[in-house]
Amino acid sequence: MIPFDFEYYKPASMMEAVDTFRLLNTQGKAPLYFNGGTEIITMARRSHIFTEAVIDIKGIPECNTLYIQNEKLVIGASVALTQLEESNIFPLLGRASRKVADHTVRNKLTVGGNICGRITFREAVLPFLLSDSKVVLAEQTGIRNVPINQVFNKTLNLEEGEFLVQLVTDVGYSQFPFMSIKKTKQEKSAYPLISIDSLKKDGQIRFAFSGVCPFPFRSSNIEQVLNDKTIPLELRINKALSILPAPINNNIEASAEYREFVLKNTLSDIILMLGGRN
Amino acid sequence: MFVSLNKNKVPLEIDVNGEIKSIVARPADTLLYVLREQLSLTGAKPGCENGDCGACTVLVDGWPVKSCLMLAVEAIGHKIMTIEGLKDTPIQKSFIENWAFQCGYCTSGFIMNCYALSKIHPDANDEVIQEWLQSNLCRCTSYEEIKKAVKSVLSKNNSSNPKSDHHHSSLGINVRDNRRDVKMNYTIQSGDSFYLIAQKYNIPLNELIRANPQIDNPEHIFPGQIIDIPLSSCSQVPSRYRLPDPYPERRVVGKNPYYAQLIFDDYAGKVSETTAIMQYIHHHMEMEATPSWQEVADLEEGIAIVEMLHLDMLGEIIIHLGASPYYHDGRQQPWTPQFIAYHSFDPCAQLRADIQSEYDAIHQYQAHIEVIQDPFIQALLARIIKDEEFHIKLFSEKLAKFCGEIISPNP
Repeated sequence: MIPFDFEYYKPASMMEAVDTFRLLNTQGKAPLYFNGGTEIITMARRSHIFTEAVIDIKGIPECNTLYIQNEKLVIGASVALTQLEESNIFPLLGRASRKVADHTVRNKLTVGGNICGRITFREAVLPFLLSDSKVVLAEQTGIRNVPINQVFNKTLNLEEGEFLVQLVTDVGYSQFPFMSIKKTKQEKSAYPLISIDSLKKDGQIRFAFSGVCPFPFRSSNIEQVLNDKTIPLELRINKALSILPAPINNNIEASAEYREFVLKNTLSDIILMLGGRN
Repeated sequence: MFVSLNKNKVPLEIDVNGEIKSIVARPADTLLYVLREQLSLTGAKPGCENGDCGACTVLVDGWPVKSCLMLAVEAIGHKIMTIEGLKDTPIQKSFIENWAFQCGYCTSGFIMNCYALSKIHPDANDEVIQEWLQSNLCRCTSYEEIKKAVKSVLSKNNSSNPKSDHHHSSLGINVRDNRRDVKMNYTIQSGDSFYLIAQKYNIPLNELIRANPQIDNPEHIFPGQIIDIPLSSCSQVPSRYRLPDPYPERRVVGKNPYYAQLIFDDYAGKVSETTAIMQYIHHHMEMEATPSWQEVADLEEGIAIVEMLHLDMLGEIIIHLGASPYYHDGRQQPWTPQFIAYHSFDPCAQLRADIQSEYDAIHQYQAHIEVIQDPFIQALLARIIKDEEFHIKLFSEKLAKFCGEIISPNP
């Protein structure tokens, strides 16, 4: 049971949502946007978060889109991860979605909720980073349409009161070779030791990581090194590991040394499978 | 509609097991709490209350959801089903027959999940079963028995719904000479191999390799590559009664009950593949009794088989859209023989009726393409229209030859 009370709002439009947020924020109620709500409910139950009001954005039509238009795949933030898997509209995204939680939870867990959540893995963002997608954000002054690689740095950097409405991806990315690998300590439905999504475009392999560092990331420097066929594969991987954006995670799930070992082998497998060897 | 609820207890109405229930709940109350404490539906069990164990699983619009991870207010406007809403279902019987429980605490959650699986993926393979069942924990470790129970129900589904050879056996005709591959596109997924794909579609591995000469080495395929799947279940369709173009991959952008309703009209509505099949088979049998009409009788039979292929595709689309192609599920109007233009013992009238049926079908498909904003479904319907246009041409040729009538191209 959630040990505190909160007000519940379900706006029917983007503007209603941002207006409601602004009003509640002015009243000091520390409102939270609520999508699938799985993370808010579990964290609230443990008193890890507190709010006096939630704003459920699932009633906003733009947040529920899942279609292709003008060669763009438009995915609403309220689309459940299972929908992405079942539709198979973007195979890499479908595969990446399957790595999050378990199947039943994914029936409620939304793509927007995963990307904007507080849990550090946020694996649903990886395919969007790889495919240079754009995000549609709603705020008080209107709609922003920005490349995700500009606005996602460790987390999705939103202005106060702003929320994620849609993710827009060139449909061509759904046709490129890809790999999506999650390594766990033991069970499949568990947080990852490491999780890597990769995609090959124009002969270059792109990599996005989760679980390696305390945040998900894609790094052009790392990709440059890993694609440099003039260097032996092992050296490439060692060099890439030397330029990670943060120290490798070291916790009860796995030591940093073990994670590094798994990471090296996984990168080697991916490069082999996607034809990136010397 | 903008919904606003204060933080105190508020009266709400939710649809549980087909009944509208009035409750009084805080917005912060979980669905699990309300089901148990207010509605006394204690089948959903509190386990971890953290979304891990699955003991509290209920169905929301047919999909399993952990009720500890859902607020009661979120249930407004959705159909909730708990274990109390299931009565004598095959999965319940199967759990008993296979001893798929010990202490029983996890059982209702498992059954709800398995029930949904059997409805949504009645032909689920081991990979799908495993993925779905990973959502629930059983501390007595009855996993093997639970898996047996699920597989028992799924195999019954599959045996009562045979995919292969049903076109052939239902008509008892010999079409060996007319065999030609009907193909479907398939996008390679991560982890796929030719062997796994062949297993998935129940086709011989060598047939799959033969159908994809563009793949130099079948052991080196990559996610994202598109290959052809020769549909063995459809390989009996006489090629001369359909166009040779491959059929698009049967997929949808996302679940959509409204689209499913529209496709159901094409599947088993008044103007539908079901109606066409029944009509053409009836005409086939009557014409076959008259030797001089044998040629037309063969045409009626061949086109009926092509319509069965269409029926099969539409049924799959309905499932992908999250609905069921069973026409007696209580929501759909049952198909009736009154939909058929029989015209008994008048072959020329029958041919005219068949042509009209094809035109009606095309108009309906075109209307649905306008409404259904799903490029995958639109592509499939457009491809089916091509077959129907071809059928009009074939029927018209026979009408001219046997009845001396010329049908205008666009009635």
